[in-house]
Parts: sequence; structure tokens; C-alpha cells
Amino acid sequence: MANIIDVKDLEYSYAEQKAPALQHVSFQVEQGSWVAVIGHNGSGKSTLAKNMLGLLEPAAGTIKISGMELSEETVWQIRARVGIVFQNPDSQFVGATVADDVAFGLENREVPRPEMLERVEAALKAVGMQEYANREPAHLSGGQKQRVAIAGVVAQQPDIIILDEATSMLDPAGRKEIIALIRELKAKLNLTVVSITHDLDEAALADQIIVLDSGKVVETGTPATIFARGSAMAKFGLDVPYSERVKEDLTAAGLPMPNTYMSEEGLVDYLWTLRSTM
Amino acid sequence: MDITFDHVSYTYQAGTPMAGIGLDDVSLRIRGGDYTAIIGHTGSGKSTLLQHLNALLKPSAGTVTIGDRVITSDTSNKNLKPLRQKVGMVFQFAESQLFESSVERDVAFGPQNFGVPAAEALALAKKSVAQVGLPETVLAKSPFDLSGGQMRRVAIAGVLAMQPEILVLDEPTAGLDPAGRRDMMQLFAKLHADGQTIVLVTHQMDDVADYADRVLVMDQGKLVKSGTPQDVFQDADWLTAHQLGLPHTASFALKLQARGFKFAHLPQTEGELIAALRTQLGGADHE
Repeated sequence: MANIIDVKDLEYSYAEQKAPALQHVSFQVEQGSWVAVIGHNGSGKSTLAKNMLGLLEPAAGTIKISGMELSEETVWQIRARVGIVFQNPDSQFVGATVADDVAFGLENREVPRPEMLERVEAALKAVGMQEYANREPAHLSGGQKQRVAIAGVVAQQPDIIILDEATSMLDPAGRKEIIALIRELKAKLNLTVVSITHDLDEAALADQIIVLDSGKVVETGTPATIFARGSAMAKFGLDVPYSERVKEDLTAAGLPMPNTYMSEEGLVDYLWTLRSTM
Repeated sequence: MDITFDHVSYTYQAGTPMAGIGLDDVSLRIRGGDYTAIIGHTGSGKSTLLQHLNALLKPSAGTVTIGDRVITSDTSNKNLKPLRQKVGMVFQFAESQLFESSVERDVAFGPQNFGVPAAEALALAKKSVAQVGLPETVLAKSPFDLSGGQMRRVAIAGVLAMQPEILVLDEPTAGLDPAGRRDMMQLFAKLHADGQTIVLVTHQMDDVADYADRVLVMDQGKLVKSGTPQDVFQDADWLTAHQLGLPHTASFALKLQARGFKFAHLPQTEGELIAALRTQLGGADHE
């Protein structure tokens, strides 16, 4: 399938910092896939997202979205195709009501009013918030606020949605809810998802994981290959999957354990077999 | 210093059509020296409970005894200040409360507010900043030039500088990355080991199993269970009914149990699980 995102040799430096925030960053993302970008704080994840939206201007390198190179001329076209949901649900509201807030981006693009009303309604319905259209955003729960922020993105009918740690400030129930919603929207709207995350469950859903460290891409691979690194993952800013931690502990306890990644269910199966052969 | 709740109820916006129950006949004791965790799903009354711990809210009925102070609905709002010093609160996303031009001034603000002379407050600031694991070089910096995790540590130092007898933490690791979360939990474990009484509100059941001495479970404004993490996490069905999760180890052990593994007591921490598996599967010393 075609690459919807093509980043080549991207470089970025913040004026007040000596070390570049991004160095020779190159990767491709297939249309319709889910990519997780992981890395500890300060590794360049959010800088990368801001470059992809043209919020920061790269020092060198190119970013192509659907074959279109990001430049001063194309930045508005590209922003119409790429939506972003930020970490803090409280810092991304501008509207007095939920519906106003979802409409804000469309107003900016001068979408005709009848079409705008339709798109706002459809977007709120898609995230399950149509009943809240006239509520004040301030009175919603964290998970509901992120739903509204996602509706704002969906209303723009983008091809790509970037989640910049969008679930990290939610409680476990809210987090699960938002991840499930993104999965559903991705399938329904044929979106490409780029999720910048520290959450294992979110990263596990990706087709591809890109690991950033000190502004460089240090690894790319499927969740299974990345998760098989076990405790080495801690330095990438992710938790070590529970099954990997138990596996390492059991290896240390002298039990014969395989080197490949196993999900929790896989590990249960393995331990059951081990027990029945004793 | 202990905190005791005796049949405490709290009604929000009492006497209006908006009235809602925050706490419903809650009796409990938080013992000095303990590490107590409070769990419950969003809206269960955890935050309302928390705000009674230093009389930010006063009970609508019943009594809250904080050390030797008894708080009832009739308690005057005067003279509550000493309680605020004895029970230090670290609210969610505490870094949003930083305001001073330097870390040193921000951390020293609390003790100065309670009448500690400036020189002494600065010494306390220096000590608390070291306690939360930040280098002395941050003292002169603006708190707004620090990373999110560092800012949160500064906010916690600000509470520690008031030398509270009880440190109350409302989801102190929310929004931090995994390394930040681990460091933060180890910081509290160290403070507890040094004698600090800790009350932790959290959604992270693993942290409860790994660190707490006692757990209080809230649901619909009621205290529905209390005990050691071992006791509280034994009954998976009961927890699910109250919209609560299990520690990772306990849910993994349940999967093993369904496949014929036997546990006398459902393991709650990784260490317990590995020990139990070693006896069932053998290990290096088996041969």
C-alpha cells in the first residue's frame, strides 16, 4: 500500500538548546496503518509531531503527506488532512459549548454553515457525544473532553490523526474508552493513526512502533519485536510488558523460558505446558 | 497523628435542588505511620473524602478527628490553619500551582505562610528539594523552565517544606511517563520508610499492592471495604462489581488458576507470584 507519510532526514533544533531535537529522522507510514512513536521524555516525539503539522519548521529534510511536500505553500492543505489530539483535555477548548468547539476548525476553514452543522453533528455522533452538543466543555469528564477533541478532528475529515499522549491524563477506564474509540474510528473512516504514547496497551495496537531516543530513530518494528527486548524497553520510555517481566524473573529463577515475546495468554499456555511435563 | 472519621456524611450544595451526596456515613481510621491507599472509580467520593482530611470540607453530619482537633459541621472556619500545616495536600497535577520566580522562593512560600522566618524557610526549601531528588542547582531556576516531572517534584517539595505529619497525595503519578512514575513511587516509599505518614489516592492497583499497608475502598460515597491489599484484592468478582481493577499480578494469577495452578492465597506482587510458581514448577535449586 502507498505511504501516506514519508519523512526523510528530518532535522530540527530549538534555538536555546545545543543538541538538535531531531537528527536524520526518516520513516514511512502506510496509508491506513497505526504507528506508535515511543521514547522517553525529551526524546523528540512531540517535536516530530509539531514538524509534521508545520507548527515548527524543520532545519533540513522533507515531510511528504499523501505525496505532497510540506512547505509554506502546502501547509494549510496538509493541516486539513492531519488532525491532532493533545495530552491535556483542558487546554484545547475554545468553544462555549461542545458543538461550538467542534465547529471551530470548520469555521476557520470557512466551511458553509449548512455543511458545518451536518459535519459537527456527524462528528459528535461518531464519538458518542451527540447528547452533549449544548453542554459546556468545562463540565465534562476527562474522557468526555478527549472525545470532544477527537470530534473536532473528525469533523475536519482528515486522513491522518496524531494522538500526542492523548490518553495519558485519563483514568484507566477513560483510557480504555478512548483507545477503543480510536480503533473504531480508524476502521470506519479509514484513518491512518500516529500515536505518541507511553502506554503499553496503546503501543500494542500499532502495526509498527518507531522508537526515538535523543532525537534519533533507534528502532522500528512490530510490537512483538520491540516488546521482546524485555527490560531494555525501559530506556525507550515504555513500561516492560507484564508477561516479559514475569518471564525474566522466571528465567532468573532457573526455569527454561523462551527468548521470543509472549503475550500474557501465551505465557499462561507456556507455563501450563511446562507444569504438565513435570 | 491519626485521623478518625465517625459516621461522616457530606452533602454537596445542601438545601438546593442540586444537592448531592458526597460521603454517606463513613467511619474509618487512618493511623499515623501507615501508608494508606484510597481507591474507587471516578465519582466514588475519593476526592470528597480527601478534602475532609485537612478540613477543606467540614462534615454535614458526624465528626472528623484530626490529631486532637475535632471537626464537625459547627466548627468555625477560624483557626483551621494549623491543620493545613499538619496535613499536607498534593493535589492532582500539582505543578499547575507553581507561581514563584524561582524554585527556592516557591518551595519556601508554604512555610513562610505559616510564620516560619525567611532564613529558616529557605533552609527548609533546600532540604525538601533534596528530599524529592532534585539537584541543588534548580533552586535558583524558574520552576517554569523545568520539565513536567521536575515541576511536579518542586510542587511536592513545597508541601514537604511545611513539614506535615501526614502527606496526602491525589494521583501523584498521573500524566508522568513510566520512568517518572517509578521514580515518584520510590520517592514516596523512601519518605514512608523515613517515618512519613502517607495517604495515596490512586487508580494504579499495582502501586497499591506494591506499596500500601492498608486500603480504603470507596463507592457511591460509602466506605465499602478496608483492609490490607492482600485481603482487599482476594475477591476479584467483588472488585469488578465496584468497577475496580486488580493488580496485574493478581489478574495473571487468576488466569493461571483457571488452568489448574493452585495458590493458597492469590499473589498480589510479582515477588509473591514468582515464589509461588517456583514451588510449583521447580527452579534451579530443584535439580
